[in-house]
Amino acid sequence: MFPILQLGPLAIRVPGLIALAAAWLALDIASREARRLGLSAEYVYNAGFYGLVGGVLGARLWYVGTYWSVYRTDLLAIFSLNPATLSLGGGVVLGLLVMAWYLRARALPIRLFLDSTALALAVFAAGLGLVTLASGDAYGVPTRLPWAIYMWDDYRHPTQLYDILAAATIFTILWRLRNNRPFSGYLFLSFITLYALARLLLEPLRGDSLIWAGGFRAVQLWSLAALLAALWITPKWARKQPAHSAPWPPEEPYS
Amino acid sequence: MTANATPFHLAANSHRWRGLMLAVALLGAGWIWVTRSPAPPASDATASPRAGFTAPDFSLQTLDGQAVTLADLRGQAVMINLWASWCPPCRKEMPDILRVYEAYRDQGFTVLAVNTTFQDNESDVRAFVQEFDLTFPILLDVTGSVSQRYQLRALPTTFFVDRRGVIQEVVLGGPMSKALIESNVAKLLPP
Repeated sequence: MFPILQLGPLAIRVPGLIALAAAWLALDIASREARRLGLSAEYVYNAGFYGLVGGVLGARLWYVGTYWSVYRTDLLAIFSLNPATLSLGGGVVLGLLVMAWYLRARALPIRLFLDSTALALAVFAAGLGLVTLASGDAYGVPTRLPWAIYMWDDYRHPTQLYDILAAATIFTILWRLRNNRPFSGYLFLSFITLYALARLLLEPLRGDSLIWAGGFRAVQLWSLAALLAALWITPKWARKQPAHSAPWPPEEPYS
Repeated sequence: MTANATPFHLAANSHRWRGLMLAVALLGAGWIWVTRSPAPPASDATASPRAGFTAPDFSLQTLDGQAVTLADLRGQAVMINLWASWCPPCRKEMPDILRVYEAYRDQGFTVLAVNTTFQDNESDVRAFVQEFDLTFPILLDVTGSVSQRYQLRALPTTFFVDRRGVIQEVVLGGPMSKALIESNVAKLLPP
């Protein structure tokens, strides 16, 4: 754990720095993949940018809405940003909506776009592992295994390292699949399948799981739903190429 | 599009795919069932300075020489604010902390302003408290043991502790806006 780097008077938050680097690297990889698949890299950058803006906005609005009784008397405070006053759920929802709106407005071939993000998502997942290792989030349950790490007053499963290993494995698999896409959307569905499987399997080692009634871990239920959804969509997408993918010439040589 | 031998594509056209999905659904559900968590989450019981854990206990002297123990405040919502008189953001947020304290103290909310006295001095602390008319307890961390136990890395750092003694939110740095303080206090004091 190494949350703050002190450089003279500057206190730099290491997790934020790693997250920024990971996002930049992921965006770079996605734009390269987009070009390889015959999409303009500009679209990927724009979609990423709008998604980010929508994400921050959504996270903020959701939080303000939740505590409206506090903010109604101090409207200026809405613009005072602090990580502690952001709501992750709201951010993810609005970020994805804005991105979907952008893709629709530009009439982009959505499955091709999704394919271009698959490798980048795996890289970002590995980056998130590093982020949580630095911040001490996403920590594991206590264990006495020889590779346990000392964090938050106990010896724990290094779940952050497991996440990084899982992401690296997924990246390797996707890398091997990337030149042999049987249909558009294949790489993305493969990522969702593999990542959901990893989350489903690794979540029980986490010490900070959101627990629902009956002791069920929320992330596992979401992961199984995502895994089944990806498996359900796969034959549908394999059977039928979207009509608007035809005018994108590079689709041919790579399929 | 060529139907070459990727596992996905082979299966996509056969009824074996349904079988695979059913197997995944059953195995997945089974795994989720087997790995259910005994509620409540075990980390609650461990004392550690982060959200989701019990706030590590401490006893310190106040500026007027009284002893305050965190564990004695169970049942109250507590905001622990680590500060120093020479730290500008601490100075900036203190009036807002006082306002929120005055507004919510009747509902069982209290503030422990832990001065990092090991890197401050008592006369400056006294002047600071007088300047802002602070009415909540000012605790003196003379040896730095509490700052160390709470892994203090930035000033100010604030911990929001609920009525069970569990940390709900940690805010690194400052100054905190009044809305930030108030919305976190609202989390600790459900209506």
